[in-house]
Amino acid sequence: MKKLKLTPSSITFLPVLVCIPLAYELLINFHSGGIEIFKEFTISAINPKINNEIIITLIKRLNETIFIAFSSWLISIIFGVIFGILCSDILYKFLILPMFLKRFIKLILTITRSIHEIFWGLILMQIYGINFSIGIIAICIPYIAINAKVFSEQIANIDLKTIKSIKQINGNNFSSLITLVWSPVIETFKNFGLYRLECAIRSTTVLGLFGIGGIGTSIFSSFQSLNFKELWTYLWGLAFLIIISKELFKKINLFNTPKNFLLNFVIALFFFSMFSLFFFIYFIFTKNTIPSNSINNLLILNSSFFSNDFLKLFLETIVLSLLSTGVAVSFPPLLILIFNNKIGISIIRSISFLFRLIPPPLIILMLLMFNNPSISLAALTLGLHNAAITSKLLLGNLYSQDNKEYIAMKSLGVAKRSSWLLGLFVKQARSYLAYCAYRSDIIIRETAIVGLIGSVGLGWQLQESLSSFAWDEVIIILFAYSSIAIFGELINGKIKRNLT
Amino acid sequence: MKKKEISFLKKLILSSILILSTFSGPLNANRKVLKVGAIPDQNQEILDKRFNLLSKELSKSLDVDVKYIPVINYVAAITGFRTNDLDLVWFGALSGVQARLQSPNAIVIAQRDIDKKFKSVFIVNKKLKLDPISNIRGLNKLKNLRFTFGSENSTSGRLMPEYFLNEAGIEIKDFKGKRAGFSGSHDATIVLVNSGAFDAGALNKQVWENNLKNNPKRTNNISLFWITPDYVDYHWIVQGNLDNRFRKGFTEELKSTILNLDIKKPEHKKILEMFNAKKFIEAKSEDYKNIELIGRKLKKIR
Repeated sequence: MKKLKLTPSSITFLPVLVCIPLAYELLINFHSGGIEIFKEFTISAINPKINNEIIITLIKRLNETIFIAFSSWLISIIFGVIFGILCSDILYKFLILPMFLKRFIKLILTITRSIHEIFWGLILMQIYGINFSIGIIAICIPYIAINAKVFSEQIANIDLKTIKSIKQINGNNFSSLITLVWSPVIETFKNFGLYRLECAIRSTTVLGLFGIGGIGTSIFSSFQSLNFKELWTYLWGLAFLIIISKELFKKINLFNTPKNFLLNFVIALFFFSMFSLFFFIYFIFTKNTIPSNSINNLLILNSSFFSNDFLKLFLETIVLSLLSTGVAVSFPPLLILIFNNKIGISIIRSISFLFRLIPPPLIILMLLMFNNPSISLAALTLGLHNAAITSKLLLGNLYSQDNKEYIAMKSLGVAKRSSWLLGLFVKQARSYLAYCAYRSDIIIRETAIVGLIGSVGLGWQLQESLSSFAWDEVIIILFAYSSIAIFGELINGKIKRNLT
Repeated sequence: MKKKEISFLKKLILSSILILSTFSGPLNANRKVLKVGAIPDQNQEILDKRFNLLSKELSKSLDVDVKYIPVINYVAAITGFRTNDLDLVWFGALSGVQARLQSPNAIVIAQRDIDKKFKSVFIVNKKLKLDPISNIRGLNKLKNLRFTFGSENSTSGRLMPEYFLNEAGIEIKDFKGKRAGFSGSHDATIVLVNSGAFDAGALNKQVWENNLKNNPKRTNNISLFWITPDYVDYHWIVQGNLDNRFRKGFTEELKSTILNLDIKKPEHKKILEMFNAKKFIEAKSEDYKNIELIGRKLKKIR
């Protein structure tokens, strides 16, 4: 018998196996009691509420969203570059600094990265109250760490021989360093930086769901009161913002502008981020922090909390991450393969846009109209939301590559689906999987969002502990989350290395 | 300095100012404004109307700027009050106690006439064919069902229902999945029980009655299971430093403005109607001692 050989393409389709337990649990939990509400929800999409009052609120909320998303994006990019350089070999080779410093910075960044912006937001909100500066800080903390990782990976590709030759000609240390890192930094910014803006808008929206401000706050309050017409006005407003911001950046084309102007711009941005940093420090020190009795509580850890229940929640979170990753990895290629025609692809594009647009807590509430709460339902929600993101990337890459093989195969009479698989998909499978490995890092952290509403995993316990101001429990949960995320990142790093 | 450098510096300053002025707008804050907040216990639209109307009235009679700041969750309202982002907040019983424990100088000033005798309701999906009960012991029938509360910190949607369940000998772990859900709001509890995603739930009696009247479609599949005994609920809490910040006797003026809202005056009637009340009455922190005890027992207050 022939041995089954694992290739990147087959690995991509393999996770579809998670559908077996998912489908089983979803089927036995199916009910149709929420059909009326679902109808109301879908009809409202084409009939959103429009009046002067709501338009004014929408504009105000969008303004806040742009402010939070854009500021946090800018700050996180600039500090991401700075920290990226700080934890890359090149700096230490150049300035002959001790390497333990690099390892220390890297460790701090890994820990900050492992905690989702929602957690930072929730915690900062408990400490500092309602102010959308919290939103910016909450997004910036993990984003700086994520950006630093990406920038440092790119800077690591610089040939170390160049440093030697620059040293030999006695070049100025600082300016040579800037010259060396400039090109990889700009390249990474082009490929990765702009994509982070869309992420920042999405994060701002999700943070808004937890009360930080911006359009998410309006989406959540109309969704809490089940005012679907109003909800869709805000959702379409958000869609408009995402599309416009993308188009605007395409039009501006920052990199064709003269270098002098670009340099001025970068310096001005730096000053802006420094100003923001000082503002935050001022803000943090002028506010009342956690009441002192809560700090005392931190020292008396509640031993009853370490029960079987906690272990169950911990395992649930891991299972939830695995199932959601399975859906997010396998659904896009599978659906494109099945519905491989123009209409099919446009439908997939529109549906995936909707699933990116509608925040996961809202998706899960709608799915609850047809299903009982379970891990599978939470996994499906998170999986679908992330599949919408991976499918965007996959579709973009599939149809922008050279398609000679595909056309040749088709003209030779190979079936359409087989030629798609062997002519187009095979070439993308490796990079798609590498991206999915990165995405699964994010999925682990996102389990918190659906956990809150779907009553599964640590996310549920976190909300309960936060709302009781039980800081000791909050710290244990964050530690648990952080260890799952760091462990996941280690595994994914290994997968990525094997793929490239 | 060289010409080139000067022009570079000019450009730099100009662009910095431009960026700063564009983005720092929302950060400006006026310190002499009385900031009113409320826990988001129901439809934001209703809350907006209710508190904007009240803010106008307070501004007129106290002669200060009053701004209503919508808050999206209970915890944010408590924290906002502690960090002085909110001066006057409409709290539920539990969130009010939690807020006062974190801001010891806070003062309880008033409650509605109905808040002395507040009630919650337990609802069940009709499919279960459970008859309404008249005795608390009947709550035992909810064992092994999927049960949802409203918001985690809601007095009528979580604390008191859980207290009555405990009194009847039911713990959270007795529900299906050994856990209860948190729908997030009273309205969401109705929809989730109506759809069948959860078998049963508990919520504020007022919101239940409003939905029965205005949203019959959303309550089609639900039957009323039990109405709880009376307990004390919502109240107004103010910061303890308002006299220093505004003027001497300001807190007292604020209190009497709220207590003197008169249903016979058309402009006051509108406000009271939005609060579902006939009048506001005086309240004291001692009224909420029992809620604090229950909160501690259920570990919502540590």
